[in-house]
Amino acid sequence: MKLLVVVDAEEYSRQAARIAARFAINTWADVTILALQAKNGDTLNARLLDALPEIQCMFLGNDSPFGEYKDTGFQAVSDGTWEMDRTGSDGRKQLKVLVRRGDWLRIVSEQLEQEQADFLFLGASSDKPEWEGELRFPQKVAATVPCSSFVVKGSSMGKTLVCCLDQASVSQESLEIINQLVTIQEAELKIVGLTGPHGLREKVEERMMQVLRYYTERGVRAWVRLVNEEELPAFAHEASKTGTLGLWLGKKSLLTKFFSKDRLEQFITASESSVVILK
Amino acid sequence: MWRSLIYLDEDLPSSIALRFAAEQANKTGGRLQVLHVEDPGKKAAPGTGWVRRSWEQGLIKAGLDEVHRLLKTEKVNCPHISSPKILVGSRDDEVLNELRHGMYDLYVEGYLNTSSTKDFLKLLNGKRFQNTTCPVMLVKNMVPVHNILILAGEAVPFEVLLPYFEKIYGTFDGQLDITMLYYRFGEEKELVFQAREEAGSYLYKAEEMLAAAGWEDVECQVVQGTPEQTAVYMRNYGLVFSSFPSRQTPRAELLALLSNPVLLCKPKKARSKKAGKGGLI
Amino acid sequence: MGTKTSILILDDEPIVIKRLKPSLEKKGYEVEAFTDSREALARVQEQAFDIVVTDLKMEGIDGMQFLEAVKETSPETEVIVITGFATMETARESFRKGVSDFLAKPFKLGEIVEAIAKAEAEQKKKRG
Repeated sequence: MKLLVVVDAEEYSRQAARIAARFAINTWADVTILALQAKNGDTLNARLLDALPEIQCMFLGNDSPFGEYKDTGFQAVSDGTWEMDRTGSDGRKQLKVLVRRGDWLRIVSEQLEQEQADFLFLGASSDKPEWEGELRFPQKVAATVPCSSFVVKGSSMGKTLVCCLDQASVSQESLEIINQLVTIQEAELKIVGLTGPHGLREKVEERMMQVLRYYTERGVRAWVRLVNEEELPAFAHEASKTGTLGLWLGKKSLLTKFFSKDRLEQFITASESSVVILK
Repeated sequence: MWRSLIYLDEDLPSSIALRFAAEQANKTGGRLQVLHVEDPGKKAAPGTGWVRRSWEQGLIKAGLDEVHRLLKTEKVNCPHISSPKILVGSRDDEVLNELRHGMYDLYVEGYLNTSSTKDFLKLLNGKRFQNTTCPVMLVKNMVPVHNILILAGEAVPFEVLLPYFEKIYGTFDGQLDITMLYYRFGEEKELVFQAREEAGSYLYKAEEMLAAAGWEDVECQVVQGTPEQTAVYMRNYGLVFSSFPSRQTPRAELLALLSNPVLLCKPKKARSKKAGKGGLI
Repeated sequence: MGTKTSILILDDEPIVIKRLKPSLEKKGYEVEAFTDSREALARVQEQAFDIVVTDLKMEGIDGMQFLEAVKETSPETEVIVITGFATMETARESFRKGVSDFLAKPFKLGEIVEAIAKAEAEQKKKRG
């Protein structure tokens, strides 16, 4: 598994990195930490330089596959991109630390493509929906990127993961990411199916049966329930108070109807806890 | 040995009910009779004699295929499932007829919780459940049963509930922890745990009866709170065993809110005796 | 055994086998795949494989027991563990028991091919 952890120098990024580190150490994933700095800075941002050693250390330790702490400085690898030299860290898995400058959304997409990442982590502030003046940046990333992403709010993901199911596009990757999340967090998994005016749609029901069978056969206890489409935003908001909320938003997803890009951004902003967008 | 009638369609609630009931049957030596009803809807049966028989046979064949598909997909390992019965007619009427004639100990159905507790209460207050003669198990989720919570309250004397419990779980194969929860409604900020004495002699007597039936080390608790608070507290139990609730009581609301499978007994004597006193919870 | 590197794959999810086996064969490996851990165990006791790829959580013998059995019969075999339910304990125990790599699902085909290539190179280095 390959993870991309997008950070800046703020506390919410430290919290996201902590959760990403726990996930990475348990799964022995290859990790790229991508630090974003102001678009027009020619030199490395001092606050980022202060934050990155601490963030790197979160991924290290006795049981870590990433070897020892190494920071022999950043090398400019191309215009606006610096990479930390971790030569000699002797890790069994990759831990790459990069700083990039430019159009942040474009950079994240490029890096995802380059690393072929399966899962993206980034933090969001609970009270201020922006990253250094870039309004709703984490929300925009989660709504745009093609892979699943975890928008971390707060220091823990809670003890429940409530996943709202769409009609058709439940990828194997998203099911496996949920497996790993509930295992690592020892969280309770709840699967919510959406009902329309005529009850549960046949395709949603079929998919829920498959998903439930998948988890039952693997010994993962998954609770199921139904929620009316119209009540979904209110339900999702309520669920976000006690745990992490997962939304399956595939290309053919029914949920995209309710969580259009703009509404998804608003929802993540309003959510009281972390949100996992599953694709 | 208990016998139960399990109603199956080819849908998610049935899938959950089948898996749960099969596991209970395997652990307690119970038998399952699968029933599916093909509802011809508002259309009248075409003609009489051979035409009508062929039409009915077509419906039965379609129903049988549906149930077989479900049984095959679920790959349930239960040696005590009898061949499915497929009937044509109204689901309520056919289920009630089969229950009356088959002398079953339990009726099992799947149910998925919705945003509104009214849906659950409507089901309980509907014709099918109001007229069943045996206890009913509503399976809302597929949960492994390592512990059972008996929801107690003065509305139903425990001696009326115990035989139903014993009949089904008396021969349970494996570790099974039992908790007796005496529930009282109260609008508290959070669930309040009270001393056992607050339940009068109810819990003492119930505990004695359970011990005499071979259930030692039963945990007894008295709680007071809203149905929402209590439902959250009860979420880790594999099954909730309760008397059939009266309409629009906090107990009914609590049972509607629960995500766990519920087994509801309908002790007729207790209902008629206490219902007039207005003390139901 | 021929000159080709021999690989045994054990995963009770047929989809993994279906994806992995033809891809590795195309790369010139000699691959045997099993979904049943008992059958796989019998096979490793008959023949030493260069590389074994095993899932951790399976019906019957679990991946950890399988890993121990492989290492006992053929200490030179490089073992790659894959898992859908990673915990610190499973990762730690796998390494204590000498696995070559640990891959948590989801992973891309390329990642396991890369892990196999690394294990193969490691083995060649050990054998001199």
